[in-house]
Amino acid sequence: MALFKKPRRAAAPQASAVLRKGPPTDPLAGDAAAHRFRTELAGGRWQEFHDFLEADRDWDGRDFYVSKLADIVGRPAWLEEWTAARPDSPLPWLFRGNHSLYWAWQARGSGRANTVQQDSWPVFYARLVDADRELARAAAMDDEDPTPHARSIRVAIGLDLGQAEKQKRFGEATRRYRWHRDAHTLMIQATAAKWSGSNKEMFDFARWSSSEAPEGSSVHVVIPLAHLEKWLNLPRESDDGEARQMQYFRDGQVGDEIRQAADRSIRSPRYQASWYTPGDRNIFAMCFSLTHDYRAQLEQMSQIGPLIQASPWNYQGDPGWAYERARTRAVEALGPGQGAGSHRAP
Amino acid sequence: MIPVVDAGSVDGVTVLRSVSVTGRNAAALVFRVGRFDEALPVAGITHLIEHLTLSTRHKASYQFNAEVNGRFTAFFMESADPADTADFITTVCQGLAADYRHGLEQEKRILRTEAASRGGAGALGACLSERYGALGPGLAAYPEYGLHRLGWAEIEAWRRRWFVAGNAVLWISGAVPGGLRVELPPGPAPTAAPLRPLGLPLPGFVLGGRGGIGLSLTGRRSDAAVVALDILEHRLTQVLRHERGLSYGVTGAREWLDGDIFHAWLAADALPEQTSTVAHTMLTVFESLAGDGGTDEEIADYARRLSDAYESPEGPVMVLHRQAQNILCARPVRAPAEILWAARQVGRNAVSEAASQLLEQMIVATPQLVPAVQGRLPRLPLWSGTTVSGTTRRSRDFASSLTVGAQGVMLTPEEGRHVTVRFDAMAALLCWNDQQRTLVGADGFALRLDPDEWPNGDAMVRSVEALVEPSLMVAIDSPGPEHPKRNQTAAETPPPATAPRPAMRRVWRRICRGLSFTLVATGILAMAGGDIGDGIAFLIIGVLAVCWLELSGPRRIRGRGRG
Repeated sequence: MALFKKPRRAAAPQASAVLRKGPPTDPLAGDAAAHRFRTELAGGRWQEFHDFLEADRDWDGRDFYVSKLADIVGRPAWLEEWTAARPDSPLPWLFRGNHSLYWAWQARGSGRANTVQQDSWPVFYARLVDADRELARAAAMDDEDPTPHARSIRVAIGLDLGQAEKQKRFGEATRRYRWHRDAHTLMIQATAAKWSGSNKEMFDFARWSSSEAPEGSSVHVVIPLAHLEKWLNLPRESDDGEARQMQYFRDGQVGDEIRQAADRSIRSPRYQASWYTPGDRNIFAMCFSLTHDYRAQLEQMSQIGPLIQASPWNYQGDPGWAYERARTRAVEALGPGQGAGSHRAP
Repeated sequence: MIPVVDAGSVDGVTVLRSVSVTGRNAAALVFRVGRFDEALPVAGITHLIEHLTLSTRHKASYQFNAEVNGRFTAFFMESADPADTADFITTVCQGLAADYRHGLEQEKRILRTEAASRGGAGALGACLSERYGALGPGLAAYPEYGLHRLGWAEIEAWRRRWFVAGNAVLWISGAVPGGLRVELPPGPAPTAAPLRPLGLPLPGFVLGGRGGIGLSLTGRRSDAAVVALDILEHRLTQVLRHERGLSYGVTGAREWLDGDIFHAWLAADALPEQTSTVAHTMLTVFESLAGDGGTDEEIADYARRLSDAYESPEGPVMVLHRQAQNILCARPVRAPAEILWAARQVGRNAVSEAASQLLEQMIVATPQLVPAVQGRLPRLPLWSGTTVSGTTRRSRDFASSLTVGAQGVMLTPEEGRHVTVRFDAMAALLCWNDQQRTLVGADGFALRLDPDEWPNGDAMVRSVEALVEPSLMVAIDSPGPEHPKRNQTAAETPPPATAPRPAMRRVWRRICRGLSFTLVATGILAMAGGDIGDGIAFLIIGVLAVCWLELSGPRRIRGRGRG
């Protein structure tokens, strides 16, 4: 009978890590104000957060606070109260639209389409349609704000509105703020093969964006993100995909491209720290880990400190555990005294 | 100049007249009868009469034609000479009184050929059938089955009922010719059957059409509804074609379902990869109109376009034809100036309200499942809501069962899913020349009976026929629809076609099954005779062959959604 047995596939990287836990991640990237507002919102107190958002028109900041804090399980009752109490403000609609996005994905789950329950699809789509209406309403109330346009790219992904529509929404966001970090990173997902795009479209976009972005911009993170996306998708592309996945980051050209992107962003003297800096460093650190560029990896980890971000480490199981495993491997590879201290503040 | 219409009467027929702007004369004799007044077994009877009426007039020195739509039949002409108008009307009236029993079969054949080359009603017909089943406007989704059945007596009776002076209006744009006669049989306008919508929970969506998105909208006639539809069509064209380049065009069509209710169809074409975006954009634009009620400028634009249309060379004909239709539906007739004034009084709130009401009754037709539509509307029911009891048979080939009882027939392709046709709510029984039968319910659900598929199938079909009123039967001299392909779901089954069924495949399958059982029997006999080794070998091969045949056979689901 052994003849009829399928050869066992090599264990996926995350398989052994499913039950193992590492240090915690911080979805709010260590931002004290975000932590405070999360507590306030959990108690149904949105007023101070509203004033805070209204006073600040830094678009990356607005995107960060709105998108991170809207990640709430279930529909909070105070959302209605907020929209009713501030009828002339786009902010409650912006927040509500972002929440509808998360709420939609809560119905769907984050797995591939074939893992989604059949009766979850209409709920997922209905919430996305709501999100689109709410974001459109916010956009109509504040023509300068790129945030609703950027976030609506994610709606277009979920509703499968096609590449032209995604590009249109990206164009609306970047017309208002050329280097909107979230608009750019969302377009990596939007152009990826798993969302009706292709590797070519994704890399065309990533390379175009990075070539246009100024030195020191956070936008260069699109390069490692595109490589991670392709790497993740390789097992589905061909029968030898898993073997190609194992080798992908060993390709010198891949490593070079990631290093060049890092040199123009997180490693540039002109790099400007922002709410997304922990996110940028975690993404580059994982790519350096996969390319076995341990020195560069540990350099980033030393600056990450305790601000481990779930993404992209969650591609390898529990993110904290994956992070720690990568760090240990790098320290062991470089020998004693080379390791970066973990959990230090950046 | 906005046309002015004078009304009079000739031979008891209402005559409307307006001055011709072009100097040419146009005229139409319009009757209040069309496809929606028919029943499924005689569907196409009005069309057949229209053809027969003009069948002896092949040539004339002027242009003429005729058409049948949902509620009206019109014979129309155009000429420079007013005398031609009188000639044409006389020709039509004589044609409506003539005896065509000898040329009937030829004309039916011509119309069946025309229908074959024309194709089906597509998504528009599918939406009307969702609303009205196989009755009234729902007939738009069905072939003209009457062309297989109609005899002269039925045709003559239909003519006597509908093509009478009291149910006709003649309009003339240009000069009224001397000696004009409209010699139609006397008689009042028949009372039309009331619309019977199926009462589905709306809005909803259906899968239909080959590409693009269609919106089926119904509502009560009002100036606000007309303005809302006009603004919507213009907004969609602006966004989908001019701003986004997603569609070649947006087409709009409106038809009266009865005197008060209209149906509007708005369709945008789209490449397959753009279907989702086009659907989302259409619905977003529509929702936005329902929210904002249009702008004052958009409403004023509508009134300006309407005024331009009245003043165009086609204006008088348009006004005359609409007034004729209003008279035939016993609706108040308004002068163009009155309509223009009313259009200018429509406000944004009224447009918003009208658009909202249209949205509430909307059916969206998409060629495939579209997330942006699924996120807004439920899919309309694919299965019957009723069941019947009776004798249940298991399909010889598939997992489905068929229940035949005194109330009707019910196919159950899988647990909890039924296609039911009740004898007291049947639209037609189609009898194909290969013994297949298709039962079409008044609600549009249809199921096909193939005697070969069911135990004692011939007797079962005869028992069903015995319970169906003979006037609902249509004998069709062609084979029944082809069986659905493997894995084709009931809802995706195409409407009845006339392609030959794959009889050879079935014969070949039976031969294979026979050979397999022979192998099994040979194995048993060999073992009984002492040849254990060969016996076991035959037995195993035979059993494997039987299993393979059973597992690899096509799993048909015979029921289907609306016909």
